[in-house]
Amino acid sequence: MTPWWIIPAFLVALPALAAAYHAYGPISRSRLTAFARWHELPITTANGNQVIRYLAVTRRWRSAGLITGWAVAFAVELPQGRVSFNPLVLFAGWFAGALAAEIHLAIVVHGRRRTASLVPRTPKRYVSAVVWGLLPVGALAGIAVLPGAVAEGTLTAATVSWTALALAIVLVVALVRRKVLLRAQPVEPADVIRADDAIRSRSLHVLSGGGFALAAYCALAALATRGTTEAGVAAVAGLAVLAVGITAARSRRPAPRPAA
Amino acid sequence: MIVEIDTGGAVPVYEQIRAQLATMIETGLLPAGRQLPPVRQLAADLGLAVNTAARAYRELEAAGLVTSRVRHGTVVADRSTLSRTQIAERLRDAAAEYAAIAQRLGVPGEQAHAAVLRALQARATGTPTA
Repeated sequence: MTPWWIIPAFLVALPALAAAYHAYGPISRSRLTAFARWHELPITTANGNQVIRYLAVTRRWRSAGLITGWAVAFAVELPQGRVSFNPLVLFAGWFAGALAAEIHLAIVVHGRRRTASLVPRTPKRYVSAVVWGLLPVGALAGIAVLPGAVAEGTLTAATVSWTALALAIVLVVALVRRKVLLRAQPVEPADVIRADDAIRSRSLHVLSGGGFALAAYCALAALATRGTTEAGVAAVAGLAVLAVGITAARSRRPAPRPAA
Repeated sequence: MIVEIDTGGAVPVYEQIRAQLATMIETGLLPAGRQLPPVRQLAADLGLAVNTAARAYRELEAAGLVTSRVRHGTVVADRSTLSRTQIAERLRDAAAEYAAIAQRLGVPGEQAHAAVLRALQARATGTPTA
């Protein structure tokens, strides 16, 4: 007789192996070319490895986050005797991996002699004001649920928890975004600086779009706990959040020319 | 435009930053109104504690070379740049200080002269000195 845990274990292990294979595989030339084209970045012998490292590190961590989300979703559902996968948990896992990748990329080993450019790195250099402003919108969406719930007398522990989670996500993403912005940029040839700017821009777009979507989903979940929102409205709002998040994450700002 | 520090040198790091920025401001290389990088950015790029970079900025502010305002960051103060005579004086002082260091180290004149030329060349090409 087959032990009961074989099928669940198989369901977790198979995607984990597939994700690990994907995460540790080489970065294809087409992936590198797509990144370069998207950011209008000429790939040179000096910056090629820099971009490949970024793509490899982010893919590895995001894959690890995704599979962790998969395993967590599975572990939560299994004791209740059902197997289903909550896309929000999968997305949260993927996004946690994206955050971890940015923290990993921020680690720089400095030598004895060090140089720094005197050009300030501001958000508008890397993302549009709209994309940068999405995260505060996510925070506002989380907070906006509370007054209505208090007024209607529908405030529950679940509502407060989802709101707190939305605000915590916004806070963490804001801190990591700041870390990305302040990540050390040593004085290097112009093509390396342009690649660094393109990488920073991509990271900030993903963090802004993903952070907004995750925080807004938590706000929607808080709204749903009040029991006054129709399912159709919630579904449309969910799709709108998804569309805005993906659009923001996939939008771009061409790599700025290094300033003097 | 860059600042370069040597963390193993005898001069404190904040003083190295302050001196370089002060020179750039006084010679007009950094014009009035030019925004300097935030303290945290400078500290991160140089791998220093935030307080170290902040001290350099504080000293520049105390000397009236920069102004710091919340939300506006640190900008080069509006002041007249040095005259030719003042530049010559500062150059003479810096040269005398360098000559004293070279003498203390027992470095021959030719070697000290070559080191200066290399440093000037590195600055002109924008490459950090080895």
